[in-house]
Amino acid sequence: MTPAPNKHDAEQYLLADQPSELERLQLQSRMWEPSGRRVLSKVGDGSGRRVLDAGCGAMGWLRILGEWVGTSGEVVGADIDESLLAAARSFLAAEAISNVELVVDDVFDSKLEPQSFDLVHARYLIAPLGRAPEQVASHQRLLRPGGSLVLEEWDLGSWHFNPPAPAAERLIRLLSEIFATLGGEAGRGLRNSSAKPVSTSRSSTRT
Amino acid sequence: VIALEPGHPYLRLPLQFSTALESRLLETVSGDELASLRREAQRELAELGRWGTTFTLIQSWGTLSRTPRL
Repeated sequence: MTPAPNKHDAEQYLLADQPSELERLQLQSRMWEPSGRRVLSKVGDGSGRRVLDAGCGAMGWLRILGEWVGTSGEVVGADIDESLLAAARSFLAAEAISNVELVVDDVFDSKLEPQSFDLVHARYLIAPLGRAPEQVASHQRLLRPGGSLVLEEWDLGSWHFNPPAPAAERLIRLLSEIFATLGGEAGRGLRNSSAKPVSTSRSSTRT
Repeated sequence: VIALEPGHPYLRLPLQFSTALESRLLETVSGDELASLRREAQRELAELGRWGTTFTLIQSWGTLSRTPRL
């Protein structure tokens, strides 16, 4: 989840070499896998497809994409941070997932082959990085005609505790302000995008 | 949005983020204030019976045309 224009920005966004951060990324991926599977079922049959998880971090969608494309398909997991890819490599080995290739790549300066993917997925990049037009254009370049782009972002408005936890919620407000200063808007990751609309045959948005 | 039962590890996400983004947070609050916030948040999130809801995951997808636009 760390594609960034340079290493400095990546470090500002995540301290990826912290064990706690790797644990957080893998917990986060496990939490949202059911939602990812539901989206993929709407996209269609993934058997045999070649797909990209851009900014896969320590786990991302690698497992569910591997399931979706099956043994005849191919998943590429890309991230700018090698330490996260090392964690992803360990995860794949532990899970015996063999149809995933991991590569170092910068979403804003991708060296991957244009028009070589049937699906590109990216999660939590627009809101914290705030470079939606460049990001979406990069993803579009990598897609084959007829390929699908799947984006996931967050809206922090529903992040609450019951009974209220004032200190934890103050931390959430501070974090939201940080993401805003990075150029994105944590509550409006997609709404903030000024990218030209993707030419679509069908598209959907849900929360 | 996912409802998180008491004790769920994802309830601690604000604390984990506060570690990952500590240098950024310290541009806004003092070290003492951040330490105090963390201690208090830790206590809050460990309290029996406190549950929570996640941020909202917004999912969007689209498919490129198979033919070039004119």
